[in-house]
Amino acid sequence: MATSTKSSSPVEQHGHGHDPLLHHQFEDMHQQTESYLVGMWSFLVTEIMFFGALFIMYSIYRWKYSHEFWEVHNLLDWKLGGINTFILLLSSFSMAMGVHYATLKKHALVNRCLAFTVLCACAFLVIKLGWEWWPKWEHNLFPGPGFEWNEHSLEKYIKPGSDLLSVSPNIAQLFLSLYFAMTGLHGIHVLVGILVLVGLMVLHKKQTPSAQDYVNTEMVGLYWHFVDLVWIFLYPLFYLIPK
Amino acid sequence: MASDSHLNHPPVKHYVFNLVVLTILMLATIGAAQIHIPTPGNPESPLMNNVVALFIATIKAGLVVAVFMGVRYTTTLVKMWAYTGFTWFTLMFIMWCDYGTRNWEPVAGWEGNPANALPREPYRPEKKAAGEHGESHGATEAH
Repeated sequence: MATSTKSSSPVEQHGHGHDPLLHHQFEDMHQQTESYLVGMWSFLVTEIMFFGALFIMYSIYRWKYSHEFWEVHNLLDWKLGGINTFILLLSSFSMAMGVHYATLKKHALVNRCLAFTVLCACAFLVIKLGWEWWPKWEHNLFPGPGFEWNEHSLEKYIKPGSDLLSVSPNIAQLFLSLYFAMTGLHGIHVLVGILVLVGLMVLHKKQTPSAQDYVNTEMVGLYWHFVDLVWIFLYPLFYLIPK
Repeated sequence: MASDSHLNHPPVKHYVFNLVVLTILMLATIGAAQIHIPTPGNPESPLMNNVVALFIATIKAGLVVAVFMGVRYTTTLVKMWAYTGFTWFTLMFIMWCDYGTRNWEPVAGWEGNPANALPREPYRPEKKAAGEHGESHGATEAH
């Protein structure tokens, strides 16, 4: 405990005047950092449960309609999914490098890494929305009242030997509903990640006090890696269904 | 006295190595999906392909959590918290016990609508008794 009685600052009265980044409720920086990380992981646990319920739902329906899901998954392009997987892996790497430079307080390098991560995130969304979602929307393959499951709507996707039309429209909608819901929810997380990353870049650019503590960058990094983590499972489950 | 172990981030080469391994595993996932992996006892089944794909995905996830998310290098408390989250996720598979065993004990009405994966209506013994006399009374007809 601090012995100074002259200071009127609550921070100094608690004996923490030596480190401006330390909040008064913590004993030391170690405890503060650990508390932040535990808090962030608590949030991520709720996210795991959130996505977990969707994964369980997907697995149950895929188990029940395995052949139909295999047929309908041919609507998805595994090459585009693979490119997006690699983009997210790259973004995770650059995010990890950003955290590394944040520990060294090299703000300019942190911002370069974060900018590359944002670039990857934008590329992911452009591929996802522009090359994957939009063509399906155009061909009325988005589940709902306008959904069409016929030769016209499937013109682009029917290949020799394809048996897509044999699949019940209801089951096709079921697969596509899961696809749009799960990749859409993941896409929203990517979008939120972009906003948070840009906000963090501003903090580092201005070198605000909160940017001086590396743990803020680390927490954003944990969120971003979680986004990558979800996609690691979404990719094989939706794009690489075996016959 | 607490140490500064939370600051022990891995060297950059670990991140680079992790990215390379993750990329190789991603290619392995794609490669494994292009071939049929026979299932022992049932060569036509795609089960082994699913198992391999999810096994590789789990390894990839483990590498992201351990290295990129820094769980391998963090404090015991944070490690415990992180592992707890994934343990909870595995507990969700208990739901499979319900869905996976429903046909062990058939209930009238569950099989009613083929477009609905899990139709479920209240079990009505009186309708079952009527059905046993050769009348086809689905639970959907009950009011």
